[in-house]
Amino acid sequence: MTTSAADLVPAILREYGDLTRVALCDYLRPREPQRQLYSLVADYPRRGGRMLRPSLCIATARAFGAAPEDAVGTAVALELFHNAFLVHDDIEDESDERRGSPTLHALHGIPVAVNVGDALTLLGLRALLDNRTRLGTRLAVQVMEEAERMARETVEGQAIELGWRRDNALHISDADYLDMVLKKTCWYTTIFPTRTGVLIGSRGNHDLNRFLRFGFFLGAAFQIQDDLLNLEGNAQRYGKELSGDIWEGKRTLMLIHLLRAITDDERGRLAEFLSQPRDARTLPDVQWVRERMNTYGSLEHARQIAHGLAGAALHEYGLLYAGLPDSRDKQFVQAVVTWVLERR
Amino acid sequence: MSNNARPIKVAIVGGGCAAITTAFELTRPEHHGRYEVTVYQLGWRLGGKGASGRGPADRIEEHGLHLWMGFYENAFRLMRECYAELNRDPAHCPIADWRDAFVPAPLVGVADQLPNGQWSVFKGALPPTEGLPGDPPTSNQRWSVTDYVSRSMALLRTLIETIQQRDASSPEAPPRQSPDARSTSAVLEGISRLLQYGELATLAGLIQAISLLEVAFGSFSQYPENIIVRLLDAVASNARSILESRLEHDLGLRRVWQIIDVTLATLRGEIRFGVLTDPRGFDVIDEYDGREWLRLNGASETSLNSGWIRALYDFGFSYENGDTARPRISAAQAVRSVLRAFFTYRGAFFWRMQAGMGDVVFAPLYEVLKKRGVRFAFFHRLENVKLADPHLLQSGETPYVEALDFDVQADVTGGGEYQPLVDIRGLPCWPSRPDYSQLVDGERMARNGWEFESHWDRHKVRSKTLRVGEDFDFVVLGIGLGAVPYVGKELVARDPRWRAMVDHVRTVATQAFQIWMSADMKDLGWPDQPIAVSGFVEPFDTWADMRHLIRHETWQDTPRSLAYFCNVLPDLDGTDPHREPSYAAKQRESVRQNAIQFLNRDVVQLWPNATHLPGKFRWDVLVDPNGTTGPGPVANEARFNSQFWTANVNPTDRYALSLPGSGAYRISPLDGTYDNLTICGDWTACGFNAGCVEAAVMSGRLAAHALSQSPPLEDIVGYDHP
Amino acid sequence: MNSHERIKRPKLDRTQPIRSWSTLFTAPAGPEATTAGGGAAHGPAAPSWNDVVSRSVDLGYRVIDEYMRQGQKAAQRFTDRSYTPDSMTSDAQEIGTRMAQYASDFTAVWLEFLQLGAGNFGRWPTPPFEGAAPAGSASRSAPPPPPSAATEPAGTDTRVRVAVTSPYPTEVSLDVRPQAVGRRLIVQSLRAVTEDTPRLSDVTIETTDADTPLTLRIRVPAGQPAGVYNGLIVEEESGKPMGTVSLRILPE
Repeated sequence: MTTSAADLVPAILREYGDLTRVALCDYLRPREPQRQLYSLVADYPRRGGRMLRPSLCIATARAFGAAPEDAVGTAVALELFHNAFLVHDDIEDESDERRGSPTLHALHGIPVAVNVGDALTLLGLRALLDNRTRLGTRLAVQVMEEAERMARETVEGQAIELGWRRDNALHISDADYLDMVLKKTCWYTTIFPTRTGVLIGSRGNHDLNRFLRFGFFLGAAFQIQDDLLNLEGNAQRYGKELSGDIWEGKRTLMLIHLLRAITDDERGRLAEFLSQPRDARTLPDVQWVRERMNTYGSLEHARQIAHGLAGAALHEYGLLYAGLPDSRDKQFVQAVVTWVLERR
Repeated sequence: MSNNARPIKVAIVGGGCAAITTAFELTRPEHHGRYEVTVYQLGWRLGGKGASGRGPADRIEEHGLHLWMGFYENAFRLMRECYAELNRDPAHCPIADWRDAFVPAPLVGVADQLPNGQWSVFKGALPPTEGLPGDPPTSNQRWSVTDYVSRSMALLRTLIETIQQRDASSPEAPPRQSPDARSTSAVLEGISRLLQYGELATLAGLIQAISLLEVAFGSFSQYPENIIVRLLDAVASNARSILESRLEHDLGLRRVWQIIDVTLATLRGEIRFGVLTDPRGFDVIDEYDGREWLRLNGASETSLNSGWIRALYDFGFSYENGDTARPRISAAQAVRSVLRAFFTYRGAFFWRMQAGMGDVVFAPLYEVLKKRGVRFAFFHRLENVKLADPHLLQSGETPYVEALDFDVQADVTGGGEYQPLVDIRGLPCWPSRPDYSQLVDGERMARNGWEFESHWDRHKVRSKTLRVGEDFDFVVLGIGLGAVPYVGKELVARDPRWRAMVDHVRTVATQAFQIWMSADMKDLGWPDQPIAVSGFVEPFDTWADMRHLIRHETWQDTPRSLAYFCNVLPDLDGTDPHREPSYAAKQRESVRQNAIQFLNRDVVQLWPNATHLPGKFRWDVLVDPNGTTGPGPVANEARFNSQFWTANVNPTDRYALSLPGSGAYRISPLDGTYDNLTICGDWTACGFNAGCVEAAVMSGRLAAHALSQSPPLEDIVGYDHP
Repeated sequence: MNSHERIKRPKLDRTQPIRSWSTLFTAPAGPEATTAGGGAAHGPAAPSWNDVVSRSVDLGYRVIDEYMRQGQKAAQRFTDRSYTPDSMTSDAQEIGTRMAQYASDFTAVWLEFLQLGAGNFGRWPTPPFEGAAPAGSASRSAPPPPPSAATEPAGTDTRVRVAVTSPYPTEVSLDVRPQAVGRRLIVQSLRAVTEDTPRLSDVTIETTDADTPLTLRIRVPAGQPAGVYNGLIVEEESGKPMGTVSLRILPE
């Protein structure tokens, strides 16, 4: 009896999510010194979260023949890194809300939040080191190399994006955007999980390069959908404030499309809006931007691109996973591709 | 802060196809006069490598042979729009409509050398196709990968079936296959069986194999690629061995086989090298030479040396440094060109111009541009492109062109614009010499023989510098690649990509001659229709029968035939042309001697009656525009001096090659490194990286897009193409 | 010259040609479905859904390929499988070359995806924005034998007749490319996903009269297991796929 695709993804996310969370607890136990710090460290991870990244990692590893426990360590590390990024991301974005509660720096101030983010990263590294017992040194080191690259790419991607905001960049092409997303989001959301999954499952015998393409297409579709949800999604389930990206002046695919499509006069007003600091922006302005996006079909444009990328991801999936024996994990990876676009 | 107030001034340097196309695009009515264009041109005529003049007897004098091809969608669209806008009166002008200007020429020929040393011309008339070049795109464009592949398969099957029919010993009919036989697994089973049991050694087996291949290509994705490759290989080698013996005596059949052989090798290569599916299309094989790549894919040596392949190289002057012992062309561009030329031509494979290219193309374009308000500054020779000092650039500022230095070769009396055209029986044409009467001090210039078009003639009346912001806002550099090292010294010195482009994208000089004869072609031994033949000896490997042009010239004793010849011209060994003042003269003399030797020794292979005595051309048939014709005591080689020949050695006249691996070094007109400069020309990365009118026009449209975002890239036919 | 006053070239969206073979398949502006022989010249009309989607795929491939070609510094560590901690091959070009050698049958498959669309069970999941209903027709037949015929349009203007004889309730989904009309077609026997389930081989497609160009007949024998059965419709001469048939035998 097969579960339909729509049910499979949430089921696996729950299953592997739980697996990861249990192992994660080990790293989040309060410890000396700095008891205070570690209780804060546990805050974000405990707020829940989809566990997409760990699930992709575990599922890929299993599809390629690994035992479930083999990939959990890496999954834990991933989740820790992810939360570290979230903490830092929120600081940089000056966001107020994350997963239904105030952001860490809103609660405790920026210096503390930065510390927490760093601590999470270190914990993630420790989890990777701990891989040695389970995977052997050679494989563990390879996974660490991947993590190092992932971290660097992510930081570079963030820098590019922040640079756009700081310089009030107004002429960004779709290709520029995808380049940035490739580095900032895809590496740690989809490329690293699938590549390390393959590494672990095949014990380092598989060529990882093709997974760059798959991970890129999937991750980019994911990110675009995320950005669309920010404008249209259900506020409660989404976990961040609605239209928060417009408040932040984040260069999403929709915003850069709008910048290209609007008339010269309107662009003046938009450029003005984007050059202001966040607290000088007003609700009427944000609503105006949102409404202009509707008029010029910016969301539709972004949706179409996400759709195309998802299709390409499916295709690449076919190349990469086709030779593997059929399994729930394999089906899950395939189902994720449509799930990233369908989720709310 | 908007700059919409005043028009944007665009300085277009150069007057060839590419530059003029850019001017045409930027001054379209849709732009509402936003761009104020001035074209700067050395000498007295537009056209660049396509310029032509009128000499004595109003004879047309060209740089070489210009044949337009049926796939030149952008170029034809340009000309059709131009003629439509010009709206000439057919009562007064012999070439009023574009269909008067361009006429289908379906007959092509390829010269092959037979084992006994003789040459024979293989003639073929490629069938006319639907539509006309430059028509708006339709929804049933004929080209698709699988169509192209199955057409090749069908051709091969027909060939083999023809042989099978002749071969009484195996009169089998191919069995009718059940529908399930078309399923993937059935096809795969069939293929493995054929490969295993040696059935391919029979004709029937071959036919069956080819049918399987047709099916397989129809749903290409469903088959493991190596099995298709194996079957292609097996079919090719078996077909070759079965057919070679039969083909030894049937020359016509053998030529068809050579095409099939090359096609099979191409298909095989396209699979093996991932061309059919790679997002980079043919560019993945850009590093290979055409023949080399075909050889890697199993084409036989005889096929590789067939007239077709030689003609392919000849048409593109594809000889490194002009050395005919070194034929080299990028496999990517070669396959791309063949695919476009053979599978996407509209109307006819070739189209002939009904007068000189200058008269048919550049005069109408000039007139239309004048009507639109474009200014032309003739006798302006670009000396230097001056870039802004990099040390003075603010942070984040892109480099730009600060000034253009020109030598003004001559001033126009009265200070107005030079009027370049002359009327020849109702048709506006470009003359072979400037109109000195319009030039200040013109008489002296004529007397002293100023050669305005020669790189070595540095005469000028003064210098002139144009400055950014005052005299121009944007620059379009539409001069040939050969001139870039001279006028673009700063670009080449400061920008490694320009340096690399100049190093890797190479040019060659070309040579050509034209003869007018009092005997007609039948008399000379060519009884067929007018033709263009290539693949012949070096030099001159290409001949075109141009008798249709005679009526546009004004002869006292009208010639009965007219022949154009052209070829690549190797550079003089060990000489730096730039430093050798008599370089042009020396090369010109070489061409003269080449032509004479060719006429004495070689042309007889094409025109059997061209010589009465062996090794001696019938010089008396040549028609001298200035007098003596017919037989007589002076009917010797000296008569040739009355004809027209040219050594195209000026740097801007050099022809750009598509050497293997050079495609990556071409710079695109869309490149935005310099924020007020773009380039155009068939040497740029224009999508179709070959030296031809179509590439030039595409590049001109790209340059216009670079400055104005119009035309949309999707509108440039063939730009987005594997 | 004050740089702020100087006029500069506009920033361009795209500066490279699209070299993928999808350019030969994308339909130009117009309401027709994409054709197998699509041309490379696109009209200036507003891009259709398919245009943007396939162009976005090209964009995606270009971005990732360029990225891989440029070979980030760390890429050197991932060139070969025989990894040793201190192996430092810095030739990113090598990676690019290897990329190029991967035979991706992307285009044909993508073409099929775009053309055959959502009506193709068991192939691609339904694209979320086109709704869950398949593109073709669906007909039901009552349990007792009499054949039921339903005429529903498939594609824009093609009328197709579907006649199913079956002892069980069935659903048929059919999608046919418009240019199939007028060609000689054959349909393969319909197969289930599992190998050992018997095929439905009593299935034919014929061209009848001008009014109803295509008639598909399927006979389901007694004892045929429930499930989904798929088959390709191909052109007889060339073997090119022209459509798909999907029949689902509903469980009792």
